[in-house]
Amino acid sequence: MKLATTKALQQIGDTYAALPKRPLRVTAFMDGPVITYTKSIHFDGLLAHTVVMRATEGAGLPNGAVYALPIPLGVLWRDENGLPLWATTDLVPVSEDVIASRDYFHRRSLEPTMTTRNLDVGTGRHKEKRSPLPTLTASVWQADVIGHPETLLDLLSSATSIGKKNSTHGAVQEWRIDELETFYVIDESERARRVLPVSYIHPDILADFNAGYLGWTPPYWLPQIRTFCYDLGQQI
Amino acid sequence: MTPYRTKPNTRHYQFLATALTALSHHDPAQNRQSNISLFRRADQLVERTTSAIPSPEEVKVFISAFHVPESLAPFISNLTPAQFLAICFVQKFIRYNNGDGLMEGVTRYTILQDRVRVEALNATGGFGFWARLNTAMRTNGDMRADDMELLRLLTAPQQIVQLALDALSKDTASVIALARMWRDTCVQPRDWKSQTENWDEKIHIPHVPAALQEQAFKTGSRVVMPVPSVSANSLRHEMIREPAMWHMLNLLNTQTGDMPDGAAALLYNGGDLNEAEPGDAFKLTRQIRNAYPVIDLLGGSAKGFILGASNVEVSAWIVCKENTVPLARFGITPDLSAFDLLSRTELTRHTQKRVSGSPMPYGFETLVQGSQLAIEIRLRPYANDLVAGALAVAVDTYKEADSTAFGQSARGFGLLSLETLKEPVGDLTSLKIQYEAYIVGNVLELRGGLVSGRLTTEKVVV
Repeated sequence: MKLATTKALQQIGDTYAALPKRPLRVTAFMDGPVITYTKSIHFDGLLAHTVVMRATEGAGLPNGAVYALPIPLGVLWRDENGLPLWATTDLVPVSEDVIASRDYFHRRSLEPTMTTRNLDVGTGRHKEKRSPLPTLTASVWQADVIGHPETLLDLLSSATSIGKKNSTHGAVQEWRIDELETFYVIDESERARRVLPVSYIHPDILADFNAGYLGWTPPYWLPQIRTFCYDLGQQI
Repeated sequence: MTPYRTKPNTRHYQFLATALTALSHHDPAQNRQSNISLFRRADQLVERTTSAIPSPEEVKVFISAFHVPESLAPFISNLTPAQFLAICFVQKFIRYNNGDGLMEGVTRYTILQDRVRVEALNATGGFGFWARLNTAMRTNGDMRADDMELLRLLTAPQQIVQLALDALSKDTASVIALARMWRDTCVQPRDWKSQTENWDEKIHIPHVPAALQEQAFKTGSRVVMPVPSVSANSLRHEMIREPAMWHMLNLLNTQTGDMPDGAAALLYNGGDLNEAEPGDAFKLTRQIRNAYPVIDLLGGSAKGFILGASNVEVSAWIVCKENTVPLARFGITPDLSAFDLLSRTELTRHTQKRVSGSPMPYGFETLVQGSQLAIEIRLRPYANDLVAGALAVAVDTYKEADSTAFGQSARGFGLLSLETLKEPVGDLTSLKIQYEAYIVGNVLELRGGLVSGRLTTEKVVV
């Protein structure tokens, strides 16, 4: 697999690679629910999105290719294609006020006065829809990283919200970065603090049947980069 | 090291909206057969209003004052104090009203389940819950003068009653099933005709003091409960998407009926996907977003591809004590609970036979006239000046031409008066002029794009 890039991304990547990095704790202060299907937010995914949006002035990148997306974090490991496992845990709720609930989105169909056609609003593309979406509410979310604090802070000033449907959910009120003594991606009870490829943990085995077939580096949703991985919280 | 801190870089509005008429905003999560619709609610962590937290020992003593049928005692002992008290409330209600035949048949229990849930959501204590339930069920709430158990229920510690109310609202079916079983255990056989309110004593069903094995009792001061709330997504539609659409169409001198339904849907509700993505979707997306600032502001979907993310974020809170933390940045200190703002409106729907047909009464909860909403609208850092102008004219159009929110505006609900607390830094007038000049200067191209479904590209995309 050949990784694609752009001139702007290449320049940003070179700058980030040269930065000195150290263990840090990133905290997001929130005041409303976040829509997420996974109980966490991939922090490297959030940073990569922000880098791309900044580099392209909000335009994003075309679908199809697998891009080398730079972020100002350390790299723990690279796979055979050169894709990086970034030195970050997932962004997870850490305050005691966590509530898992759901919210509903309605898609209203066109009103009868807005069209001369006889629309079917019970089925098909103009159907009136109500979608339940899982929410997670917590006032404080945290991720541990190895990174460059000033660059991270600058980047996070453009990360206005997290999670899905973030035009109405997941607004971040403030970001804070603190020093951290040590960084680790597997906790003391040997559970993964982020998605970890099996090959990173056990370079000598091909697959672990306890592992899932998951995305593990930004963009997580891209099918081409999925491999066998231990999920967040999974015993390794 | 001093922590590094930053706030996300957004240009934002803050509004204080005051309801000039009651707000109707039904709860989409209600799963009920009733002809009463609840106001929208969202789970929220709220501070309990009590200062005294009973110890597990005090709870144990409190619970042991209740007597349960001996045959059910081993099963009841597995319940938590909150679940047990929830069942006691319903059991008492059934006991007091069964003598009149009120609680006979499945339908009555379906109605009871529905109303128990609604009243448990709204009550703040046992005292209020009992009164509300009797009002809702049209019963008189009469009690025996020597019923010490009911007296204890009505005056139970606030801390434990709030958990019982939680069980009554969330686990209603289980609570009612066990309460009914409790009563049925005490009921005489069917051929006994002389049912009275104290038949269990007459036929000597043995009772024992209640004892719960596990005195699990949360001693924290906060509890999760469904609190009245408003949908930011609904406000995003009412305050931005729809007025932005009408404003642009007026400038273009066209209407939704002139364009394909996909184009009208894109402007009105964001549209949807219904065919495969073309190879040049990225280029088309850029072209469309550059041509129509409204689409760049709100995002949406062509028939084969998503047109990218929205450049605007909306948050909204009811001004109430439960939202004290987010309201602080508006400089608002609320003094009322959201539950104090709830009211109930009852209307009658007439059948075609206006005189002889049976009219159907129905009711719904509303937020009372005078309730306030704090609304924040934020532009993301990637929004250009035309997009900022599109947002500014949308908000102006909303203020001047509509100013209603949520449901039943045609019946007079949801009229808002909007006070601007904060505007984005910069010359808004100039942004609005710039945006309107752009639309007027490109009328033919923009109108042609909508009417043809090409949205200024070389392909039909909606």
